[in-house]
Amino acid sequence: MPCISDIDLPVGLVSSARAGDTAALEAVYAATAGPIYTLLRRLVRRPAIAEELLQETFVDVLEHIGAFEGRCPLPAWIRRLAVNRALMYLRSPWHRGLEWLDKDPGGADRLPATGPDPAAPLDASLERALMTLPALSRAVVWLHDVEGFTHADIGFALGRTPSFSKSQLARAHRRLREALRQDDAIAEVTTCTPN
Amino acid sequence: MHAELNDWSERLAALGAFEAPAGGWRAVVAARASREARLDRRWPIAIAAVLLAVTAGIAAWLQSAQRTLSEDAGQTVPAAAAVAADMRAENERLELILARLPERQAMRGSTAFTVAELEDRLALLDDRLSRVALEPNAPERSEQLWRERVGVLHSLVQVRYADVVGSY
Repeated sequence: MPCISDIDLPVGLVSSARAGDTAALEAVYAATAGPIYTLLRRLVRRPAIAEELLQETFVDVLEHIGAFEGRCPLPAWIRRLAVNRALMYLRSPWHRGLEWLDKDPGGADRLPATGPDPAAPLDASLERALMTLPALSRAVVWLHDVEGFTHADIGFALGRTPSFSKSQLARAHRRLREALRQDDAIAEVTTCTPN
Repeated sequence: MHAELNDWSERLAALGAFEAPAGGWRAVVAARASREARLDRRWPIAIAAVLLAVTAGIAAWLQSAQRTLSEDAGQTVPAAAAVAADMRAENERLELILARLPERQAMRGSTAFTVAELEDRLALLDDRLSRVALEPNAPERSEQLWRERVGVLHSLVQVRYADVVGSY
């Protein structure tokens, strides 16, 4: 999977984008939209919402590119905007109640709760397990384990403490392990059941 | 522990990537134009919100001044009933201000969290108020709950107002 931090944009392109050059900004979009969309799809379940957040993120980029000081790579700056947008959505009382965020493991758009296809690749189980996590826990896992955010970063982004992020991560890993174990058990039963 | 963390990182990072929707850039450009148009329309609302807040402040000051004058004139109103009525009136006033603040479709995560917490506390207080008549010291308890509700509403108005003004 392409990693946002691995995207290397030419210096000239970044300079032109910072100056507001539309063609350069479009090229930046072309180079980063895929990984940013993947990140958003991991943070929010609904594809339509992820698309909307992607759009909003790049509207933010267009509006604030002048404020980008180049202290970090441009893709990392865009990722920060995307994460802010996604977390704002996840915490928004209009879209999700806090209780739902913290307690409901599924939600309206949960993946079908079928057992794994034994012929499916290993990551199908992990995909399913990931989707059983509450939105907030999933965000913490993804930001920490994949995007390399520190607990301090995550705590700050969520308006909570680093300890909150740590405990969420530990709980999420435990849930993932349990979900994977259950998945394995279902696969075993399915495989052993005679036709 | 670290080995396990690395394991999760590797497994999660190896999950498949999603393709960004086609025509995304055009949608971004269109969305930006739409956001700019929306901002232009919002100025009158911002001015109205500021005027509303100023009016509410003046009304509160007038009410308070009137109350002081009444007390000075030696009017005798039963103390507990007057306080309870004041609290209810203040609640209504703040609810009115809240209702007139423009609804925001999106706000900062920390602000949304604070708003949600305050709304939760209001819901809890409303629940308690609905059952307070059954309690032995109902009048005092009721007054205390109304007072708490005013405090929470004050905070909610301040947060929502600051958020609305900050968005322009």
